[in-house]
Amino acid sequence: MRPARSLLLVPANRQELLDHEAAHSADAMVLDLASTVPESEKERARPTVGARIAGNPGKRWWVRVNSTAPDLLAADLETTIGIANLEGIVLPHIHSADEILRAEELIGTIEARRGVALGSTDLVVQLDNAKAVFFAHELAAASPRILSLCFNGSQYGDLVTDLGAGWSIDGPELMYARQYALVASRAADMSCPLDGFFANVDDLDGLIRDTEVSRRLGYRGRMVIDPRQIEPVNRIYSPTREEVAYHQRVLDTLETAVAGGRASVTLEGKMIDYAHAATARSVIAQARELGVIS
Amino acid sequence: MKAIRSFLYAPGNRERLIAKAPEAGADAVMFDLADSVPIAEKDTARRLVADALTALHGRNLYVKLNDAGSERVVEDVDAVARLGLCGVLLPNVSTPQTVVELDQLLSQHEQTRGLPDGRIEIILLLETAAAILRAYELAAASTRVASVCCGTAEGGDLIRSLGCGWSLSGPERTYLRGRVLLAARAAQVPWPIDGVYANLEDPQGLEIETRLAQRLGFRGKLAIHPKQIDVINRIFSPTIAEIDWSRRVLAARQGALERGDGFVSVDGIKMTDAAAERAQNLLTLAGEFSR
Repeated sequence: MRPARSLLLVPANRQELLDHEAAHSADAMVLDLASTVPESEKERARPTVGARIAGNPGKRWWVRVNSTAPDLLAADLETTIGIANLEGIVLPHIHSADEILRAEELIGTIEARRGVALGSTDLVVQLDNAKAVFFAHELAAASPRILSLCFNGSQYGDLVTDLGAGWSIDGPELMYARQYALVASRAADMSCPLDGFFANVDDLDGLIRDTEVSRRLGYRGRMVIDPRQIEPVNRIYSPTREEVAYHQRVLDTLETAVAGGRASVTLEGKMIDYAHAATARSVIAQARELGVIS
Repeated sequence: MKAIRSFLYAPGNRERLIAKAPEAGADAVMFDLADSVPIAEKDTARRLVADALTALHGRNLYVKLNDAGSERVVEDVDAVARLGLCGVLLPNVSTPQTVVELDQLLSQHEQTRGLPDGRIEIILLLETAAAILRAYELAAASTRVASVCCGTAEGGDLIRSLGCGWSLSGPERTYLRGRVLLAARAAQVPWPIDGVYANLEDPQGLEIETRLAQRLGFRGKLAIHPKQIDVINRIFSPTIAEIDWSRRVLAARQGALERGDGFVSVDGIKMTDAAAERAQNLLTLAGEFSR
């Protein structure tokens, strides 16, 4: 998946959030037809999605569909697949690889009917229940369309409710699940593992601390639900200039060492070797992709 | 399984403790036929426990069997599969096959003894390295599995099986408990519980241990002494603040629905329907425990 630090989740029936000035700095937008849209509004919300996306090309757009009921999923996919400029579909409330395969079959059928290239609709699978997290490795491998998994551990959210767990920013409640989802994502070669949203939109300090934990665990981006959350999230998931400078020194130091016949050397007291050079190249490439350096 | 915060152990061979245990204030009694009973007294214990099940029929009564897969389990089940038994705790379980065998054994007795079909519950005591690794398969092996118990007691079987250290808030058990809880819920086990806290002279330690288990999502805990019960019951009960929060969430949700807003906002926190489900669960539990 192309790097996305912030994915602004917007209820499809309340798109005024997109008019907020800060909304434009989100790396991607996710129009939601699922749990943030009440049942009574879904019919009305569905047809607005296509126009919004097609009418705003310079942005990256995703749509989160309903996957709890087959008829809702079908209706949402019918509306969504083939929209010009759509990057992909977020599937929430998945419990097994079988459910992904059923959705994929439906997607394939619609692609064929619409004349859209077969297999061109990409997916992000949301991990929002215990079973999905426990079997994250199997879900990740269920379809080549899946570009990323999104770990959804928000306070009072689906996963926490399913676990019956408490919630805290850096406490132990979700640590295993949040790490496991990350390992499963990386084991499936996903380049941009995603984290869920931070629910308290008034607590920016909390958001910052939680996003720092998320980044340290290895996540590369997260959902946001308020325009104020975008700037800190984008900043925290980007390598800092200091990090980039350090990793440049790693490359330079190792290059000099290798020229002198050694592939292991100390830099600022720490041993570095080819593995560190590989890490450095990855950080520098990420910084370049995100525009931290040119 | 009913909402049970505390299970109090009672050694199956000690008549006086068997008689006292149901009055100690625990939500359930766990009659032990396993480690607390000397081998020579197993038969006596089976008889005493069987009598107690009959006498106390209607209470929440469970029996800890001998090790999974052993011949003793068959004799244990033969003695206790009767009216009054809510469920059995199966210790040292490592393979799904032994869970399936226990399930079948229980079914046979239910049929021949005219007991309701499939009603006797199984609680799995996960206390080996293999059990942690295969927690999901074990939990999914029988529809009777109503609970799994993560047995991480100091000096216990699991700690020995792993060869690891033990501390109250240290990192040794974080992975174990997180994995067991996640696996249990993935298998839709409704009521995961935590194992015993071994130090009877350390109420503070018990408090910290139990709080952590509750935060991780465990719903109850085994108690080895009556003096542990109050702490356990208190920590696994919804608090006044949680009850208040639950009512506000349900009210806010109603308002949000009327406005066509899928997000419910309480104290600045944006929530979806999951929060309403949590609120409802908490209120139901609060109702159960206030009786």
